Amino acid sequence: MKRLGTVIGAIGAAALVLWQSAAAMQQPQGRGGGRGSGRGAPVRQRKAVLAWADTRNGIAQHDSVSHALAVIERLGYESGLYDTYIRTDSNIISKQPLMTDGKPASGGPSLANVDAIFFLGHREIQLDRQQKADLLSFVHDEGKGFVAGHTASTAFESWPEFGEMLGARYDGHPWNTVAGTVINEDPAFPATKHFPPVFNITEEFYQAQAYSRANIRVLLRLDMSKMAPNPEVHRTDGDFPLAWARMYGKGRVFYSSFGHAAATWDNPDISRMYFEALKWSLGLTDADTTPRPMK
Amino acid sequence: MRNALALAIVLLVAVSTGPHAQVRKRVLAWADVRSGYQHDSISHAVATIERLGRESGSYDTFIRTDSQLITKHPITFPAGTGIATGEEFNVRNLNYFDAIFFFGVREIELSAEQRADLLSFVREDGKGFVAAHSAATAFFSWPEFGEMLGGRFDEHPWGIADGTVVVDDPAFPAMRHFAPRVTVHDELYQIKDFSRDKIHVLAHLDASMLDLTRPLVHRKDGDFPVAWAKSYGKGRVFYSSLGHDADDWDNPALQKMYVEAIRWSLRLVE
Repeated sequence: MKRLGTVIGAIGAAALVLWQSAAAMQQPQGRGGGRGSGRGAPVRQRKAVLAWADTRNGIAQHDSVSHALAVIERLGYESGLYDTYIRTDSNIISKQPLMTDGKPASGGPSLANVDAIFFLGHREIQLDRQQKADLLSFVHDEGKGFVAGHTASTAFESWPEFGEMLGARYDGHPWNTVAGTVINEDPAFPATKHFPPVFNITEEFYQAQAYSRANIRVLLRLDMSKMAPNPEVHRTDGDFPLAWARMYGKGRVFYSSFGHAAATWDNPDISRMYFEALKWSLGLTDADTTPRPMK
Repeated sequence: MRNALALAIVLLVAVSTGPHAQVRKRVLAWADVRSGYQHDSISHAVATIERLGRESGSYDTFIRTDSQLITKHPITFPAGTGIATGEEFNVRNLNYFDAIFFFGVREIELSAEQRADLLSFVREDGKGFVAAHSAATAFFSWPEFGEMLGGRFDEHPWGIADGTVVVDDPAFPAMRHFAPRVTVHDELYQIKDFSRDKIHVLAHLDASMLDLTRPLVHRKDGDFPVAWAKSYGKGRVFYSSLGHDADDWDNPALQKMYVEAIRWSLRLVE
């Protein structure tokens, strides 16, 4: 019996590998207008994105983080729309970053030379007062983009202005990873345009707290009528946002809780959502972010 | 009951042999660039290494530009630092990984304990260490690192230039796909502090095609390795100087060289 199981399992695995190979073959070849040798051009032709995921703070790094960063990098590279700097430290969260010996950084990203941040950090990340001011100013005053995924809403609980910028805070995941139905509240928004009005997805759905629909424009929400009752659900009005956009001063902010598992970042609808959100945050597309009540 | 058991076994096997299974090797792509010049190619390089491991099913990758995981000791934080401590704590350290892909630069801050753990990861634990380009500029103040790597950076006298690479060992997994002579366009490094007695040179630059009158050319015997393999204790070490520009990492031959080197360092190939 066990041997049969092994055989069937092996066949399944082989089929999966074949399927993956076929999928890989369909990937566009070449760099498709990516930065390539133009990278060293004196005038930056493409936008620059800092993919920032400082996870040094004691809680488990999600296994998906590195894959997510690599996917974000690839989408920018292949489209030729932006170059990505991947960093898991926070030295570069500064308009004048320093090396470890205190001298000015050599090469690399800073808040003075990138156009948006893709943020996938979690919990309390150590930034000094000046770094925090620089980060808020980057978005609020300079109008740069801030796109954040999944664990990002658990970050900086002790820093009220960060919560204000992001638009909400994390309040657990009552069902852990589970299938759910998602309502697309804004099919006109660039990052949610490709989703049908209603769709199903398996995800670790984060419950958001400390938000107001007067301050964020909810793009996607969980259909609570389809979810099993759960004592950890604290919201009583049936609202459960999964993606939203807002303005923070002059800057554009997007958050979605999608992306717990590495495989989720291989879901073209999910990677496209983040890609379009980045484009929007970079000012490459426009959208209405007027907050509105649940409908 | 029997059917349920059989189904459970099938599911278990299917899960454990699937592409996301924990049986896959684990690679730490380590590119701490906080103390030197960050090459623009590094993020694309580590993202490419991640993608190739995932697509091939050979390994999963953790990308880190900090050096926190370079330790075999528990990673702890003092209470009151605003950082989570206690039971949720679950950071992976070197013990979790099977190989390191290293694309750091210059002097990286590591404690004495971290340095000892890194050497032991390769030498005693028999894990892999695959290093690219600026890796040869790293840790000049740390002799044992140079000994592990097998050579040191000694300038790039020709800057970014065309060069002819001569393959020394076409049988080596990371070299098999190359023609005997390959033209590359890269930032060509001069290597110092190496001995062909200690490293197995896989490919070198054809010195007859290089301007040896350049002021920074120090090597008199015309030996300019661009890739080598060596053992360090029980572990396997590979280095290549190729990969300065982001689009170098789009070259399938260069990709294959590094992936095969990683697979060799992981003992997936001999």
